[in-house]
Amino acid sequence: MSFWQALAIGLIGYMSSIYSPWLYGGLAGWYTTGRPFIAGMLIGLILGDIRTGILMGAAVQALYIGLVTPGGAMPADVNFAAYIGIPLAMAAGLPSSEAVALSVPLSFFGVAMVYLVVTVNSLFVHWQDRLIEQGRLKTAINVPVYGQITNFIVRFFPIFLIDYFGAPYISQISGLVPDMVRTMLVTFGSILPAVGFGLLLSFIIKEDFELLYFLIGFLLVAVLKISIVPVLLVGVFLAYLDVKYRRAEVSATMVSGQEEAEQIEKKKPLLTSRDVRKAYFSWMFWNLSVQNMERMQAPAIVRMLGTVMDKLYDSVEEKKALLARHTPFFNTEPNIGAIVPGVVLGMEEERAKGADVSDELIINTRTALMGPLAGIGDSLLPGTYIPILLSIGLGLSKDGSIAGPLFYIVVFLGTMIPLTMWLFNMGYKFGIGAVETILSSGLKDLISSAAAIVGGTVIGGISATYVAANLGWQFKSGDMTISLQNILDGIFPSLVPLLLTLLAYYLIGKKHASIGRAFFIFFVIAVVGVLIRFFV
Amino acid sequence: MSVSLVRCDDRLIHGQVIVRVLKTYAINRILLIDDETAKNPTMASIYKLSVPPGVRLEVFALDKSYDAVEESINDKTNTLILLKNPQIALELFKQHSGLPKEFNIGPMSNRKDTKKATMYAYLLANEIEAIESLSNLGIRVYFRQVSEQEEIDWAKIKSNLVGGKK
Repeated sequence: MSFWQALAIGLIGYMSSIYSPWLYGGLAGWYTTGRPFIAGMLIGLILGDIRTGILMGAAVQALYIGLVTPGGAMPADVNFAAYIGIPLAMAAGLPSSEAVALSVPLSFFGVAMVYLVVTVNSLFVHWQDRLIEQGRLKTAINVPVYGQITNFIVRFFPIFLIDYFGAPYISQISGLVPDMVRTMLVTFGSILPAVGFGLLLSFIIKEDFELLYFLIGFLLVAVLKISIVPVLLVGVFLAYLDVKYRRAEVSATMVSGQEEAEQIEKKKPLLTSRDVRKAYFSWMFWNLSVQNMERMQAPAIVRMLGTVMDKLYDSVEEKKALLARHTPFFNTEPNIGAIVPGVVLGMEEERAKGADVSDELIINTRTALMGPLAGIGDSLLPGTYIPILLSIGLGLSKDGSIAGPLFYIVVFLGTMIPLTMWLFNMGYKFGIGAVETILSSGLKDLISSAAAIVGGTVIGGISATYVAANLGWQFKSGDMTISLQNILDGIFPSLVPLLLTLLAYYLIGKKHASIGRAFFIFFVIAVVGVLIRFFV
Repeated sequence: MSVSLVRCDDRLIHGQVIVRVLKTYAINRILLIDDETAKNPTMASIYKLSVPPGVRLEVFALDKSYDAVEESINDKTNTLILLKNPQIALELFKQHSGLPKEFNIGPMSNRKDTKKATMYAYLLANEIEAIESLSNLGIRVYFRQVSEQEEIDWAKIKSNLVGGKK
């Protein structure tokens, strides 16, 4: 790997990490280029072999597809797994199953960095408090920008240095690995995606009978060998039938509620639509930039209000008070939850106009809303929408095609950017009532019911593609050799991958095993399986 | 056991609760006991609507909660009792002998005059006092955000918070 290649991967890896603001906050960063699948394409582009990059990215992605990371409780971090694991494996010419095995310890190393950042960043929060007190407001609202330095240090340098200096060692070490151990690693890497799919199933499926949809998807691909697009369509049809015949109708309250709210729309706003857009962008880009254990996203709310404070108040004292009252703890899912800073902005504008809005009401509303929106946002976005889109993408790219990553980027950003804008504006215009109106439309429940069916079917399909096992047992009688693999292929192709995925679902969904424990159990299965020559 | 978990969490419903806790304990019903929310119909309705399909959330003020808690102790639905602070827990554990003798503290945000208990939980003096009383009642108090994390027992960290300076 050349110096420039490592440098480019280090920079993109940093910009794609969870707390980096530069790519539309988390939307185009952490949730797009931060996904190992998309990272694989970019790394492949830099290293001059896109196809291999995508295949490796897809293999690592399969493993982490169900990883939802709510509120600082993070079990594994995909950033190093992708931006260190994939380049090293590619530079050393390893197969993708070894890239998967390599990514596991790196993901735990990444978690350590997350905790380091959120701990150190508390310093910036206290600095922002002092700046507001001293009236140095311009500096105060730039704290999320300065605070980005810790994230840069813990992401850019490890990725750049390990990729640049580590590559030669990986091929040397890889050369020293005995064949038996290599088989174990390859087996581990091949069966490990079952854990990713099992984890995802446990989030998406609400009742056990919904496993049927998973089985339908699995059989379509394993037995009929059809591609992911028809599988997706089957899922959509099933979801349509289910919604049409089994669930209550979605009420039309949303539309009527909106009309009602329209009447209370403010007469003479202090903020132009340009100001509101500025505030939206400020929120979207900087929401996690100085993420810290103590106040979480509070400095980003302060920054957002700072961008419009001159429009709201003339006196420095009032601007100081505005920023100071938003320094307490704030945390939500920043994208679906964008409605909350929208509500805050609307309330602050009302207050500035002299309406009867107490400081306490603003803070209480903010604090009350952040939790429910975090819950809805985490379960719908990283818990449902993103993994389903990624699953479809993985299905499109099983031969390394660029169609999968492009599909994900276009569909995800094409829907999320307008949606976050709409949510923010709804919150700004209609206040807390907007949240109630949107929720009471039943849209959320409709989406999550439909997602269980579409998601289950698609996950079935890609489990059949991405979980693999080569069986070794053979029976000899005279000249005839009967292999277990051939027998099973005749009866039920991919039976072992199916059972492994269901085992992972059982461990995580039913026995509540942590992802680390599930990895370990699958590691033991790989080691023992190879030792008894069940797997080869 | 029909009350599966009594949890204190000053954000009440959020990502950890929806994505993890409800799954871990296969919760079908949530009793949210908080006076402020009970007084605010808009917020109560937002909380009710924010839980996934198949989970029923009910909001009660503490002094109106007795029957619902007793009912949930005696029926078979897996119930999560969710509170904003340990003082409410103390009242509940005093009133209801049928509750499981365990009390989970999740994230408690850093507020004015709080002391750090764990990386994610900061406590006020009266909250610490309530926890100590709970512990003296024979309730096992432990800190944990989600089931994948290690539990931290109150007994282990209380020396940092009780007595000493102040």
